[in-house]
Amino acid sequence: MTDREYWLYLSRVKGMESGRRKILLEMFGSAENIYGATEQELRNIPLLEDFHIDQLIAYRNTDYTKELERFERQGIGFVTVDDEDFPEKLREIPDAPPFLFYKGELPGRDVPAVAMVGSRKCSIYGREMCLKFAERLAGAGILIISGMAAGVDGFSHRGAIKAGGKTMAVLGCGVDVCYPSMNRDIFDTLSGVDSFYSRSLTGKKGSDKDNDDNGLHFGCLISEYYPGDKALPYNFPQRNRIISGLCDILLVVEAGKKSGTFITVDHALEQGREIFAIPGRIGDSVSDGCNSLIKNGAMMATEPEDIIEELKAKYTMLLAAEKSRKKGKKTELPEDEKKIYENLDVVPTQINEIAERTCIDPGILGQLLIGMELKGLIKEVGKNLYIKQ
Amino acid sequence: MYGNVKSASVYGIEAMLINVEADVSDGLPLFNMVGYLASEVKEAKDRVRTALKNSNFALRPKHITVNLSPADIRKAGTAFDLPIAMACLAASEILPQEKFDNMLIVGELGLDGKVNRISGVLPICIAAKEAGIDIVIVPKGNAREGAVVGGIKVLGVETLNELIEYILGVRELEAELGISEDELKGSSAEYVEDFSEVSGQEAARRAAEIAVCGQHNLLLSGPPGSGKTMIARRIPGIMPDMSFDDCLTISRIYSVAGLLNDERYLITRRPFRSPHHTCTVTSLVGGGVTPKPGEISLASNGVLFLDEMPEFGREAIEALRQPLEDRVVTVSRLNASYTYPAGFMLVASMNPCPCGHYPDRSRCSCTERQIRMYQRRISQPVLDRIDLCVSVSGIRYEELSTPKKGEESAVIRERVMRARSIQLERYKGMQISFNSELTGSMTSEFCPLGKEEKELVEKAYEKYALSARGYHRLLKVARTIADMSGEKDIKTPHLLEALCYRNIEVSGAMTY
Repeated sequence: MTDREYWLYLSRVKGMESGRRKILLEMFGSAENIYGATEQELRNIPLLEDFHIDQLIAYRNTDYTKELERFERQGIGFVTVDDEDFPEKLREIPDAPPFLFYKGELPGRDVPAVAMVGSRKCSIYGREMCLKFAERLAGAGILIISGMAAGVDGFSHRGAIKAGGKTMAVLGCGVDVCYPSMNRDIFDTLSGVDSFYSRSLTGKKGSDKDNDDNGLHFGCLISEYYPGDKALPYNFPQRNRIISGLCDILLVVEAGKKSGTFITVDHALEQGREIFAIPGRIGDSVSDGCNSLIKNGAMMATEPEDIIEELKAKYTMLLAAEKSRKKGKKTELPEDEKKIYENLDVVPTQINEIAERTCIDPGILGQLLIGMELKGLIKEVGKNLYIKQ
Repeated sequence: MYGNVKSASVYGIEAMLINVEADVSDGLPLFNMVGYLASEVKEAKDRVRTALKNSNFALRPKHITVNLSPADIRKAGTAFDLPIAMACLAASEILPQEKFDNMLIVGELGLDGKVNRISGVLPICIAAKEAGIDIVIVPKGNAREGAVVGGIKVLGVETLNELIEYILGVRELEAELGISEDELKGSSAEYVEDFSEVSGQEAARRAAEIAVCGQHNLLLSGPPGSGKTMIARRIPGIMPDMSFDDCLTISRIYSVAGLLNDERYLITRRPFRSPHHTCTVTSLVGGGVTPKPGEISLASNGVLFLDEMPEFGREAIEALRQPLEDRVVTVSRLNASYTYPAGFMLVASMNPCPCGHYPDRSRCSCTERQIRMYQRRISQPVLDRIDLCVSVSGIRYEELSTPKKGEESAVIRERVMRARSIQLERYKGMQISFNSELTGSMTSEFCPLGKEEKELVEKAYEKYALSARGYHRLLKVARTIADMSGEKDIKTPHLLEALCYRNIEVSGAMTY
């Protein structure tokens, strides 16, 4: 058996993510030695529970050469610390997994990476910020990392894909398991599957088959869990250390006071990553966490450029990134449109409220709103809910 | 001896004349009834015998045979009690047979000889008039309802004796008067709820007006307590007054359903039906062992309001698809199939999420998945039949404390009538009368677009990921908006406004 196969054997044992695997490796020296250890030797280690030992022994009967072949057929890659394309940044962190499964295309070396995290139940403001930041950052060539969860995670990926940039989803389950199922569009796109879902996200038509060869890849899915492993609740806090480990900057988009996001923030602090947070309104329960992060010393991100500037010191490639998207010549809006624009906000405003504030005839208001949206001045973010662009 | 009395029975909303024959001959005493009868008709035997006895007309102990013809059509209901009694008396030579020749009789008997109300008198009187019958005898409680038809003499009787005395010529019955023109006019404006009571909600009011102008279906979305129901309730009030024929058509349905009474003997107000979300398919579209019209038929020419549409059973909602398209509903049973009108305007309301407060995240803690699943509970085929969708905002305190008076229903109704008359003119001689009824091929004929407009639609088609159906809906609504402003052609502003009220597409919904 090759070293890769020994790693594969070790990766299959569940419940070893954090400290156990590392200590075990230190004790035995290599994965091969663990494979060769007798049951008695394993039993002597107080750290291992019975079910760990049962797994360690039972999994020796599998033909890992065949498993690797199977993964290859399924388009699942396997990369270990011994390989060159193992993510460089991950090597730096203390409890990094020694191997990763992936689907799609691993990012190259020396790519600036920003992890975007936040609440699964985000507000429309949070969603729009996600899309805005992810689109802009990914557009500038920055890799967007997130966890493909509902809410902020999902929109970060979608924003990056829409901008044609690269994104990486770190899963808490096997890379061939789509969890949550509503993120099928992201899952299919990143694993390079041409389906109804991926088309709805990338806007690519089924007939554009040729484009696939031209490298229309949007990034990858990665996981330390064996393919087929289910998404178990305690996998996710573990997965968060990889998210923060892979990035240069952790951006907290929207998080409440007691959000699970803070697990990632803690990991990032331990790993010495820079923390940015997008501020929300005071008293907005969904943004309480972000605001208190800023209060406690996190950097404040009010626009994507704040983050790009920070990364410029480290990555020369970003120097070329234009300062900010040049706004077209400021055209003077007609009076009614100006009135509408002035009454809008980043927080969605409902059409009836706009009618009341502006006193524009509702028949005309509808026309103006859609007209302004088609011009790109405003955006409808929900049924008859509008924000400033 | 032989006796013969005309009666009628209701099938669907049509009535059919039935001949009630009786024969009294020698033999063993027996009361026998034939003619494909439902059990409540067979039971008439006992009611008739006892009622006659208690009215001091004992039937002689003879061999009595009663036949209801045509004998191959099933007869149901209790309307045959009175004609059977009359036929028996005629056959017993107590009453002169020739008196019944130009008379139709319906009514249920009590054991004491009282004549009780029945349902379906209106269609029966209409059928009698069409058959050229001059006198219709109905229960007193149904007399006003029947008299509405006009042109025939409708006599209400309270007891069996009253009728017998009338036939014998010893008592006069006063014919019930039909409804006068003035009475009809006076009763039409009696909507208690007025649009002026809705404060704010400008866009929702506007959408409601557009919807009524073109008879489009409307979906109101918004948090609980924002006034969705309030708006929906006021929609019948801005519809044009119904013509007498319309009133008659609807009253017919109500008559069959047994919903008319002395105070409400003719439906002159546009109906507003709001079934509870636990209602069954049958109660919604009609049916049952003895078929009855459902809520959608009762809402004909008016509004069917489905409050909290996602809470309705999926089957009930799906059952709406065909009636929404055909504007009639056909209930098929073993014996016959009945067609009820279903020309209603659908107004539905929904919360944006299970708790109702999304996107206000300080109050809503629904997950993205829950929100999406909730919105998906209304199936796409049903959404495809809803042309307009508007969101209604929560009401703030200032609005409650200092309510702004909105436009009155009467003012809006004036505008609606203008827009509707344009449509009636345009679709003269065609099967349809409103923009919402335009089919795909008709839209290209009646909704031609200029160059600028075409470009806009193309842009919007891409941007909003419209479907082919969405495209047609857009044109239809734009047509209505153009009609409202009295323009001949659809212009850019009309299309833009129609886009503002476009329906939510399930896939897009509000989550992304």
